[in-house]
Amino acid sequence: MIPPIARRSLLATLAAAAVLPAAAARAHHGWSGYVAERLAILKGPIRAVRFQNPHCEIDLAADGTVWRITLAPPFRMNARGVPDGTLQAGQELEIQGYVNRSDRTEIRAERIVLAGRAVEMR
Amino acid sequence: MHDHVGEATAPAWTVAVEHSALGLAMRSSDWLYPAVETGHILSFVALVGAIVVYDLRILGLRPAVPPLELARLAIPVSGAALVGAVATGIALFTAEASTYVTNAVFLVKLGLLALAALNVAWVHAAVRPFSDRPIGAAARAGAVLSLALWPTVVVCGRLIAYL
Repeated sequence: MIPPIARRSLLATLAAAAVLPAAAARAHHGWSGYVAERLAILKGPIRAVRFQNPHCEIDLAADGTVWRITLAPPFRMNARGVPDGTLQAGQELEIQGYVNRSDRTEIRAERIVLAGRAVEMR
Repeated sequence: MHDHVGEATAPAWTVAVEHSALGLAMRSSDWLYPAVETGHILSFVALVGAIVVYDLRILGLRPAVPPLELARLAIPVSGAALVGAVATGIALFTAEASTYVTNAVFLVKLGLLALAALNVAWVHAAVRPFSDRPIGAAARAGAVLSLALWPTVVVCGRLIAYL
C-alpha cells in the first residue's frame, strides 16, 4: 500500500533516530557526555547560586578552579530538602559528580554534602 | 540569586532574550518551565499525530475514508497544535537562548522545521485538501517527505537536552 519510496524514507528516518543519540557528545541528560568512570569529589566555598529551571547551578571554588556544578531542577531540590535559600554564596560544600567531557569546568553532581548531610541529586 | 549567567561568548541578542521578562520567569518560577515543557509535548503529539494520519490517507491507506472529511478534522487539529508548539517552544527558548543557539541539533531541528513547513505548503498546493481534487503523485511525494520530516523534528527536539 505504501509506495517503495515511502518505505525507504521511513526506514531512513528510523535509522537516523537510532543513530543520532550515539552522536551525543556533550550530554545534559545522558551519561555519555560525562566522565562516568571517575567520581570527582570537590570541596570548597560556593561562589554563586542560581536556583532556576531547567537545572539549578552553583559555582564552586576548589583546587584553584571555579567549577560550574549542575544540580537538580528546582522541584527536585525542594523535594530533597534543599529549597531556594538553603545554598548560599560563601558556604562550604562538598560535591560528588562527573566532569563534562567537552567543558572540563562543568560537573554534573550526583550528590552534594551539606553540613554532613548527603543529598542525592538524581 | 535567581539570574542565569549568560555565556561569555554568547551573542548579545540571546543574552537579551534570556534577560527578558519571559526568560526570567521561565527560570525563576518552579512550575512554569515544567508546565510549558509539558504543553510543548502535548502540542507536538497532537501536531505530528494528526499529520501522520492525514499523510497515510494521502498514501492510500483506508480508501473508504473521504480525504475531504479527514482534512476537515486533521488540519484544524494540527494547525491549533502547531500554534501551541511554537508558542511553548519560544517560551522554552527564552530560558536558555544562548545555550540553544550553539546547540547543533537545535539548529538542525529549526532547519528541518522550515523544510517541513515548506512541505506543508507543497502538499496543500498539490492536494487542495478542502476540495475533492484526486490525489496525485506530487501529493504522495509530499506525504512521504512529511512522514520523514516531522518525526525527525521530534527526534532532534528530544536530543537537544542530550547534546
